[in-house]
Amino acid sequence: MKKGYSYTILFAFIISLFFSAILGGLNTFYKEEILENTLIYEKRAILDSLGIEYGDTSQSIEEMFDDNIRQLETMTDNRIYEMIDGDGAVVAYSVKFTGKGLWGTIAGYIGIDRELEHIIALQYTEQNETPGLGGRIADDEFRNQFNNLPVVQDRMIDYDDDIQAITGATSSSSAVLDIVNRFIKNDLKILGELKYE
Amino acid sequence: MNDSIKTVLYRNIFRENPVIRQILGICSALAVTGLMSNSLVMGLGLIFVTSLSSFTISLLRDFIPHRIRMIVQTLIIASYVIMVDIFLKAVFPEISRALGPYVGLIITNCIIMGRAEAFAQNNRPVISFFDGMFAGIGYTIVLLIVSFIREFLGFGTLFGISLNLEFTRWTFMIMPPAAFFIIGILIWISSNYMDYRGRAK
Repeated sequence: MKKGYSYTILFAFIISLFFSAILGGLNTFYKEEILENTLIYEKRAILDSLGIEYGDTSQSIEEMFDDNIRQLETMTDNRIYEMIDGDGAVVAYSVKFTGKGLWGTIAGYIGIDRELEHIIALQYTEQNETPGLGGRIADDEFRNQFNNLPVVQDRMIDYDDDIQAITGATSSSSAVLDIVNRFIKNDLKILGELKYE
Repeated sequence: MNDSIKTVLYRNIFRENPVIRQILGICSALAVTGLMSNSLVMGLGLIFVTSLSSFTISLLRDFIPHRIRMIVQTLIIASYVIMVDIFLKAVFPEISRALGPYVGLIITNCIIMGRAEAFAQNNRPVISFFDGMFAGIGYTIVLLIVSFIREFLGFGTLFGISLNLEFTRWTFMIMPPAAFFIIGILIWISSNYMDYRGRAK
């Protein structure tokens, strides 16, 4: 009964078990590293959104993060981080955003000063826009347009002399603009209420 | 069949090049060839998966029940691809992020299944390993040629290094259709030198 049904089923079972075991083992072996890489990437984006500089190593990212950032524990589902100075006073906030880009999600952090008057900077943790076109929203040239941008509650920003879209990447540029406007509309209010707690 | 390594090399890189001659693996050839570094990593991943898959399938070829042949091949191929994916995520996260979903898509790359069915099923493990490896190398060479043209004309860089040449960038080269055109031209050039059987004209 070499190639009968029993053999087929047995073979399929054994080979599936074998390869699943190998992959399971590999996954377990690397699980911590992969998780750490994801966390470091988030921390780096938070630091970038607040204009904090760090060295090349993950260690220096961890150090700068631990020295300067504290997660705000409230009901705002862990989206807000506080930047604290030497005395533990809040100097700035970093808020996570998720929005819809042309091809997929665009996620990242927006940093804003304590007075809620200027955006410090913007950095992404995730974007899947067209490489070379929409993907250029990740370039410094585009991102830096939002550095020190003055913001007012409920006043939406639009393209002007200071904020320009990328040629050939209108949808992606506008997606980022929408994200910033949503931040101005919703998160400024949330942060404003925090100030008076 | 007792092909020598040299025969297998020449066949997979030139006469029956998977992309230019067999028109396989086109999807990823279009998607990742915007940048040479992405093409190289994609190519290395494919060489790894194809050679080991062909080797494993050849090793098991007398044991795999015929009716579930392709399912088992897919299982083996997918396992190796996931190994590559996990490894990149853990050790080279930047590259993993740059390639994104395309690493997982190696599983669907016709070249690997093609070599498994056409060669590994009927040949010994070691020569199958080399067959897979050279098919991957043939694929990588084509990808590097395409991405060389696309990155140079579209970005003015090679492997991310700017060449500081002043010319208007061809934005069209960054978009997928450019790969269509370039691969089409490469196919046309190669078929001017070889007939459909791979014999010199």
